[in-house]
Amino acid sequence: MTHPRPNSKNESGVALALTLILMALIVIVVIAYLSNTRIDRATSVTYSARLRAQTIAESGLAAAIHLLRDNTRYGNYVTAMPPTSVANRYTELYRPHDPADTAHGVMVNDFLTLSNASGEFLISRASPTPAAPPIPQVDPRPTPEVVTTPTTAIALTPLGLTAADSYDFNQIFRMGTSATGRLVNPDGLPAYGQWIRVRNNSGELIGRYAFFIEDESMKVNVNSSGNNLALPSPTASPNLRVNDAAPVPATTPATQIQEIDPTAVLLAANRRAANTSLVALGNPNARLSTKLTMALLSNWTSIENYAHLLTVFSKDDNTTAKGWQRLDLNKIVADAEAIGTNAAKVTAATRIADWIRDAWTGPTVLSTLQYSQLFNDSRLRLQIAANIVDYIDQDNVPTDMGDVVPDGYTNTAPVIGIEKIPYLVAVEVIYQASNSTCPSPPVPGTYSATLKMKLQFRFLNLFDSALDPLDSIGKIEVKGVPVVTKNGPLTPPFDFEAETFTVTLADLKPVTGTGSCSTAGACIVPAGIDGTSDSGAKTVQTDWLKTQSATFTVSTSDQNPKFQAGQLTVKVFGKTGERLDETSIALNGNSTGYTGPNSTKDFLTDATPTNGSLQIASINLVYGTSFETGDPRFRGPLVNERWRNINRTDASLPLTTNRISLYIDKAELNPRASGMDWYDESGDRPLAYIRNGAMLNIGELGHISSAEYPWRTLYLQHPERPANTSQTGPKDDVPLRRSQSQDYVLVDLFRAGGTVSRSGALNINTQQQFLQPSATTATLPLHSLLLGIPVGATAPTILTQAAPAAAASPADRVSTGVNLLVTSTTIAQNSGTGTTPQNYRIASVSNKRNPLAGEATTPDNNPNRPFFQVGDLAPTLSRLISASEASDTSASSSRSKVVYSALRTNPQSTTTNQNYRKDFQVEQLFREVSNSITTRGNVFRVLYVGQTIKDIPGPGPTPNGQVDSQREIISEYLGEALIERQAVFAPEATNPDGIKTSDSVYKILANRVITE
Amino acid sequence: MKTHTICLALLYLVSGPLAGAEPPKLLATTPALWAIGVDPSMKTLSLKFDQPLRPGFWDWFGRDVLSPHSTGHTTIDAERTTCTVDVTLQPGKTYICGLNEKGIPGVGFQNDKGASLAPTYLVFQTAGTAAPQDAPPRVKAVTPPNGATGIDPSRVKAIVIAFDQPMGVKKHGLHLFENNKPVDISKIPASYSTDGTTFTLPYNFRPATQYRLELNNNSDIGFSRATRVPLWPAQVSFTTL
Repeated sequence: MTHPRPNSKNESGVALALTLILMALIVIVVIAYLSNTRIDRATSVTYSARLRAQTIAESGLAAAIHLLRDNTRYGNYVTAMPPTSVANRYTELYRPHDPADTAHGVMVNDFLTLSNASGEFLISRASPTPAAPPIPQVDPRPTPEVVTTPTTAIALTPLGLTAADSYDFNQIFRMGTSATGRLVNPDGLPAYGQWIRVRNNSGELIGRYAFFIEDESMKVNVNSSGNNLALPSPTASPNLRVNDAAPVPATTPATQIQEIDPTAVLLAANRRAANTSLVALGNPNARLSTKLTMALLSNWTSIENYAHLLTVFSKDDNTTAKGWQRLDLNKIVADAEAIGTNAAKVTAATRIADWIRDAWTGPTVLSTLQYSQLFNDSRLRLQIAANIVDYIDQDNVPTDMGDVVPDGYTNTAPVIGIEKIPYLVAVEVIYQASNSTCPSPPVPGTYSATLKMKLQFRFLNLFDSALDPLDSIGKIEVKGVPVVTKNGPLTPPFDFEAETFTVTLADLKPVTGTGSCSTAGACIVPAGIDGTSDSGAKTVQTDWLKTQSATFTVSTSDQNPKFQAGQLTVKVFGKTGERLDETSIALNGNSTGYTGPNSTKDFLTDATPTNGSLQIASINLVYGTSFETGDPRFRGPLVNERWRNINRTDASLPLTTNRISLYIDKAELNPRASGMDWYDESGDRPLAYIRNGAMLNIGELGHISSAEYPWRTLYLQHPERPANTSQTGPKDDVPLRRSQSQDYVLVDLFRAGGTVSRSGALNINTQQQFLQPSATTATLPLHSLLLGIPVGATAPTILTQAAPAAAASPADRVSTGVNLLVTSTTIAQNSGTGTTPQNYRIASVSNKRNPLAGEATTPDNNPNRPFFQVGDLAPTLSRLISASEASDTSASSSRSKVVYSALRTNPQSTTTNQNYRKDFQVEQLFREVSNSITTRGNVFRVLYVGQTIKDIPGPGPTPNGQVDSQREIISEYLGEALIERQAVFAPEATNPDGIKTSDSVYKILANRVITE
Repeated sequence: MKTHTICLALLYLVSGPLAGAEPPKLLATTPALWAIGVDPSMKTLSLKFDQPLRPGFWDWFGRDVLSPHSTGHTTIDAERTTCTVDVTLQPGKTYICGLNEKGIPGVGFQNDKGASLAPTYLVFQTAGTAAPQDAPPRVKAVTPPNGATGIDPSRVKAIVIAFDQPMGVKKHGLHLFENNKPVDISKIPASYSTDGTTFTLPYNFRPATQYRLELNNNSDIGFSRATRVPLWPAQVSFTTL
């Protein structure tokens, strides 16, 4: 029996189907596998390109650091920004070049001058002679631009970069909710870095990089600046500039940098809230943990408009233009005070004097080395150093450097510092005759009379508070009182020339007043009163020191009595015998007279019992050069140069009719009229200033008496400032000294406390600008940062004579009611209307320092240039103060008020506050910023980009080594890094205090990707 | 630093070591030193120096002995080398201007560096008949005599000067030179005769030596009458065996 078989035909179809399905699955799997493999491969290529772009970009970062190292490692560079008129953004760097290394050599231990300047763009630059493929990559660093014999300007010629060969780093990027921020500047001008091509070993173009470097010191450091010490008000900033003579508020910020107002860059409506928010973040230097200003995003509105003005990490070294650590004056003096002896102070002053000699960073080769260029004279260096020590120390005892032989002289002169003590300005030896037996009228014969002699002194108070001689003076020694003769010696001679008269305060009595000067308050020398030119003096005298009868002869050719020629020596000693002052007065030998300005009449013959006692006096006054000036601080190279014996001798009663009684308790008007700097206007009575404490800022050097010329303090002012006197002598002397002064260099050599490396100092070469939304005219933040003027809702108005500003700025820190706006710090001297202002650049020699006689070119000041040293700013700011005081708009920039605002008593007025014509005020602005400015920063912001390139054929058949289209850019990496130069300091052999920047290391503080 | 040093050194060489350290010297005076017959109507005296003077410093009359009547009003020319002072003279008078007489550094006529003219006497006599008390003294005789040779030093032991008038006895104006070299005789006690007319200086002469005596000169007028009218300078020479 058989069973029927299933339908075998149907079974074979299933197998086929299964086979097909399996095959399909296999195909799918294979396809999927192949597809996946292809995707992975593509992903890998992209990833590789991105990595390569980052690597290439980081090559750019390394190149940027290399560029910085090439130029900054010795610390003797300045950074600057070009005038705002250039078409694109970049930062300049200048440094002295080593002629032995024309490629990249920096002259070590030298400082920047126009004669040795090399300049460098802080951007990537392709080699001017790029290698053609397939030659491997060559050193892309271009040779620095050597500035040769500049005549009009020192500036790098813009490279003319275009988008075709450069990367524009001023990219738009998102900041918080804003999508309009830019990486470099909101104005949108390009910030090019030139592409550097990267090739493989075969010479094929595989990528390119570029970088762009900013010096963070060009911006306001919101981490360091600003404080909250001022009283709040609806419009006030909490960041008041401190007037160092009268600090307000009483609690001063710890550093002057904190007085920079970081919110001044904001619109007025935002400032107070932003200030509050900023200060609330923490103490200076510890406010923001981030290295980026993004942390301000929630506290500052419209941050995209201000980001380019701000930083949180700027630093600079407190070093000289040579890269030496600045000498800390406060520390040197404090160390000497801790020892407390004159010897210690002498050591300190000697160190300062030697430092001026060795660390000098100003011109030394001038066609005419002038005595008044203080660095050039050893005695003046010692005198200034002693004055600095005494300005700072608190003992109020002058530093006695001993007697030194001035350069070129054979006789010694005392070098004694200047303290806040009353100084002698007049010594009068008064002679009285009585009981003369001579008949009236006189007939030839021999007669007798009683003669007496006493001393009278006048003290001057140069300072701002009353001074009691009891607090500082122990005794006065006088030797060499003149011998009285008449037709030959008297018999016995009235001759006490060889006797030393020692006068204690108990021996002295006020001419007006009671008691002796040994009683507190009896002989107080009052402070001067502004507006009362003869204020601030006190006259005291001894009792009669000598009384003697003598006979004299009346001849047929009779002569009035004479004072023999001789030398009057006056020494003032302190309470413990220390020398406070010493001078000698050459007595020429004068005919005497007791009455009238011509000193007529014979006091010996006329002092009959009927006529009563009659007096004459040898009158000796402080003077300088060839006229009385009244400045007891003047110290010439000859000891008898400080005082002068005047010819007039009338001194008899009644008072008010004789020479000496006219000036009882009065500073003499005529000498004040010759006071040049301080006594600009009749009636002025300005004051000297000695802190007797640590300097608040290095600009206080301007308070230091130079002692070289009467009333001359160290000049931190514009050299073309005219003399304010028509007095023969000063009217020529003062402009000469101002024009050839090198005093500003001292600011570069020293610091007033602080640390070697500091945060937040502002680079005065910055050209960072603020362009308000929809505005067409950019304003400069230095308005705010140096002058304390906010960037307001409207652009600052350039004042003109015809249209002064309508209202003073509410944030003006100079003085209430004084309007100070500026768009230019300099102006060509002969360009009275200021048609070509140079923004924050020194314009010409005439604006900086006038050439000396025979000086065809002035090596440091002739062409426009960046500020090389911080002291360069002093004349610029002083010019702002005083340049606008006259109605003259012609040739003299010193008198033009067209470009510079008027420092008028009323902005609408044409009158000026005369006080601003005086040294003290004219240098005030510089003092207020002197500790918070720099010309170089240590921290650099590097924007760097790298691109991976596939050099595809086209337009020709083969790769051409160029990037012809976006298709060739495979990937891109844009990064930002902050690089800090950290100086390596080492002892300098020339001076024991010298510590130089021997090298630098470069540290990446922060690094981040912006886009890739 | 090197540049600075070199520059200073060059300046030093160009300007001369301690330029101005040499004190000023008189080139001429009006009237001339020791002039006689000077016009008494002359209203000024003047001094011409070899270098510019420091303005404002002068000493015309020193100790004010026989100085001319003057207000002391002094002028200096633009070159600062010539100084002038006003005077009022009388006929027949001998006048003494003790220029920088005290010799104090920094006092009187001096240059810009403070180096002073050495004490100098501008002595002159005006024309006219001098009163007896105004007549200058004269030397009557000197021992050893002028022009003598063969002076025996073992026998001659003093210099003796006889004057025609009594002299001021507190000073003398003798300067002694041996073979033209000055001899310091300041320590040798000199004496005057009781009547003041004879001056004696004991001295041990050296053999075979040429001697010269200066009796007063431009910087020393020690030989003067009691009225202080000085001896006009005179010189005496002799030689020892």
